[in-house]
Amino acid sequence: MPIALKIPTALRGFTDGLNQVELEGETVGELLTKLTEKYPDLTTHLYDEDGTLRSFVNVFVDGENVKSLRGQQTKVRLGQSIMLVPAIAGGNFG
Amino acid sequence: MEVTESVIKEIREHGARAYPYEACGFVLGRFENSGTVRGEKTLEAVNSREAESRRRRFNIEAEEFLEAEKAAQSQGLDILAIYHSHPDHPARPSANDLEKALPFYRYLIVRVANGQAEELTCWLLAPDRSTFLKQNLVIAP
Repeated sequence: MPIALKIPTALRGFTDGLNQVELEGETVGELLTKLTEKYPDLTTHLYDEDGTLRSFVNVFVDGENVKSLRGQQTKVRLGQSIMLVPAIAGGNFG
Repeated sequence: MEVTESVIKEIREHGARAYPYEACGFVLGRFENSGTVRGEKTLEAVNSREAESRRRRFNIEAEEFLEAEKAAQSQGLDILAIYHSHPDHPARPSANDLEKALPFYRYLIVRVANGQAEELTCWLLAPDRSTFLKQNLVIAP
């Protein structure tokens, strides 16, 4: 059964303007993999050159950041609120 | 990007007030039918970096981003841009800014030299993430 992943405004240009995408998966990591398979142009914004999820990419499941749960291994199920949320970072260092 | 005079003033004031640390926040506004992006308000954010690195880095937590989105929506606005200051550094994006940039949002950078706000510039991430593209920043009523 597909699970809805909410897409932030900044990334909707890569999901045909959709604010949520229905995906199959049992974990947060599986949903993100399916998302980039469906919308390959998103890959460079979500993952760095080494294939690691960029530090500013966060996923919230029922209001809780999965960084404080099991990260990409966090289990998901139908009916949960699952959101991709950016943190913002930068600065003049480097 | 169009912004009101008050948006410019508030970003410059926040940058000067935060000196020697980096200030950061959001510009809220509207996407107009003409395609113009029009910033109308600022919303200050907390630079969550630890004290010493706040001089040269900024971070806005995802939780605060969500709150800012709710605040914008409650006023019928959207987050259009992220602003931050570069204390005693030029108002142009660093490699660090590029590495962590999001597409779509404009990035406003104000140089603050010895506590005085100076140049304010506007940038947009290139689609391939290779660079920032400088944008015109127009003050509109």
